[in-house]
Amino acid sequence: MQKFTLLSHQWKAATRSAAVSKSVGIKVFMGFVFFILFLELLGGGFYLGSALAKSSANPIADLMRYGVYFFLAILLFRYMLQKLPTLMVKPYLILPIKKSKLVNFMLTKPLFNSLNILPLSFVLAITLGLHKQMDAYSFWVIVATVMTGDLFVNYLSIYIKRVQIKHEYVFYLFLASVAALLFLDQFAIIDLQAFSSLVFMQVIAQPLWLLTGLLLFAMAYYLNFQLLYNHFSLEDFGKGDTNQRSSLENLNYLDRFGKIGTFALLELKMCVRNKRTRTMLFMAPLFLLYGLFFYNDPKNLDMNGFLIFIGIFISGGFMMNFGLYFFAWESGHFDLMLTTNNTYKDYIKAKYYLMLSSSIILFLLSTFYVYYGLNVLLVNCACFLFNIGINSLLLLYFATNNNQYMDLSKGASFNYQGVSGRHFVLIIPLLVLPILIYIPFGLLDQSNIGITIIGTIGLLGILFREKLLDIITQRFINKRYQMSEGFRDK
Amino acid sequence: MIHIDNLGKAYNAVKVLDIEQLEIPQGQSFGLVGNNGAGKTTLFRLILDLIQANSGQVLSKNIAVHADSQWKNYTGSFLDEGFLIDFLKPEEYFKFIADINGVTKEELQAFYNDFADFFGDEILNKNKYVRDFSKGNQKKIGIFGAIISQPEVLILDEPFANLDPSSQIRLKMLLKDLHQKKNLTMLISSHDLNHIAEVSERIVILEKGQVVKDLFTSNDTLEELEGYFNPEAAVKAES
Repeated sequence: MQKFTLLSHQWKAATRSAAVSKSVGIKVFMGFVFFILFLELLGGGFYLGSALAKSSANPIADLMRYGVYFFLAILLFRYMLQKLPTLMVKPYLILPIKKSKLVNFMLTKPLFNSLNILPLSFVLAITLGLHKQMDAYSFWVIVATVMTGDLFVNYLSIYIKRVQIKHEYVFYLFLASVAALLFLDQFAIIDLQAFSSLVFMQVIAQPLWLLTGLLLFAMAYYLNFQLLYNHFSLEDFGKGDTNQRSSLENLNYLDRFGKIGTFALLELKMCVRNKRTRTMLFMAPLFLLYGLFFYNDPKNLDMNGFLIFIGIFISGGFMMNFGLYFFAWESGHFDLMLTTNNTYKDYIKAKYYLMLSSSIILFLLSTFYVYYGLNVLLVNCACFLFNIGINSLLLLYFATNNNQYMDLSKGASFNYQGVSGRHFVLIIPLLVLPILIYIPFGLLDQSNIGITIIGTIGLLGILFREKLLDIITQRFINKRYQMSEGFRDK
Repeated sequence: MIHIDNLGKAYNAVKVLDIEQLEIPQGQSFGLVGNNGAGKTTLFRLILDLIQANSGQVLSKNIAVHADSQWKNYTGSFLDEGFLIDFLKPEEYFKFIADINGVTKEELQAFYNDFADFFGDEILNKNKYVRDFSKGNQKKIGIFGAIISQPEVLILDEPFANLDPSSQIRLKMLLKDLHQKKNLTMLISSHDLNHIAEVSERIVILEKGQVVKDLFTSNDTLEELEGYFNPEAAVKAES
């Protein structure tokens, strides 16, 4: 009976939440992404299966070599995409419901996540591609293995995520250890493939080993249960995080820059002291790594259009992520910003200079890509100039369109609170514009001129920044009512 | 000082504020009362140019607030937590406001000394962020923030709510003091009729966005206010 009441409350919470009506756009967008992902997984799985069937003498043994990677991928994937199952606990705690019942109720929720069908359907697609080489027995063992393994991974990722609420370093520790594992494997210091084949061939030989998987799942469930039971209020940790107490307190250095310095300091403190912005800050160096993925392939190095794309991302990726919500980040104290000062331009300038500094730092760090040739450096330099001259100002201009309240106390990775699908669209011109400028010159085989022009346009933007900032300030003034009204609506 | 001229605000065609004329002269302490939804906060937001009026305008020193932001130089305000920066410590928050308004370190320190009583020992040097303070203490931080810039006009929305009894009494004395010594124009709203009658020279009652009573405080004011908000009791008392 109680369980049904809880269920019906959950249903009401889901259907009556203010977010439902507001974020239809983002829901449709995410649903679309999910659907595409699903189709790609099916297609990819089938392709892998049939390719393996053709090329391998013993496809099942070869498949087993990749089991560990498969589960590692699901772990990362779940960790990033899956939301923590929550239940507003407080009102129930004072009612005569057993605590363990509430905890168990919360812990059954991940079983009904729509993401759950993805790993299994991927594996089913693979087995479909392999159907000629596979007997019914190994098929069922593989399906059972995937299901038990996924259960374990599901609850493991939830556990890590939940611990991370309190101990933020766990997030970085987790990412670092996965990276280290893959690194060691890449350089053949450890052999994950051999390990994987050892484990999973064992399971095929003796399906009773699946019980180990179930045991692991039970352990993960128990860990979750313990954690929730002992810290039931973990969910409502409040806005505060206690560990970052006095960061940036003595940064009086910025005082000498007058009001711009005051605003910039405020902005920096906001970045460091709020979870959402802090995660973004720590992720910023990742944009630098884009180059590593692509420059290694000599074919890519010849395509300037592609290099421009990467170049814009390297010095501007962080800026784009952050800048589009420049005013929304301050939604919590926006009314103060509107009433205390009449120097909107200084306020906006401070944001401009912050983008500038982030871009400069990332560009300087990226100069080591000169290793891949002088051309890469030149392209990156032109893109950097374009980023600070044009894109930064465009971002500030677009940022005045975002008037949804942002909750800064939650982590940033795959957190879409206050974000809507149309914002992603705004990023596109920033990426496409420089490439469009380049294309005619590229077609005429005048690539150097094309790249110079991109850089020059950037320089012009820097030269005329005061004028352009005036336009943005005027835009801000015109949009201020809409923004403050939107931010107040939490 | 502040002149309200045919001011109207509607949400979805429902009028929430409709004031024909209201003049608040310099140095007046002006109290605003009314039940929930009467339009008190809306009026303050319009005076502070946080929302756009559908009709009419607010003039501050004869300049329309929406057209020119001169008024920000002499107006201090605290309406709600949207005026607090929750990831700063109180000292940092005060310093931020002081810096924006060109208040020096020494002046700020002098202010701290004046306010030592009001703060008790719960606000300063606590090494806590604003978001970790209780509602009452956040309110004190916000009120202090509104006064730092040494404004000529002070606008506070329900400053007494959430405060403990001693702080309420201290705040009353403080406001009266500020009003007398600095000839401050004060606009204060409250649900507490006692407090508002005590600190205001003039009280306006709003109902459904309209001014229904405009009175100067005297010994009978409190009774009159109570009578207005609870007519049955007033009738009984008379008979």
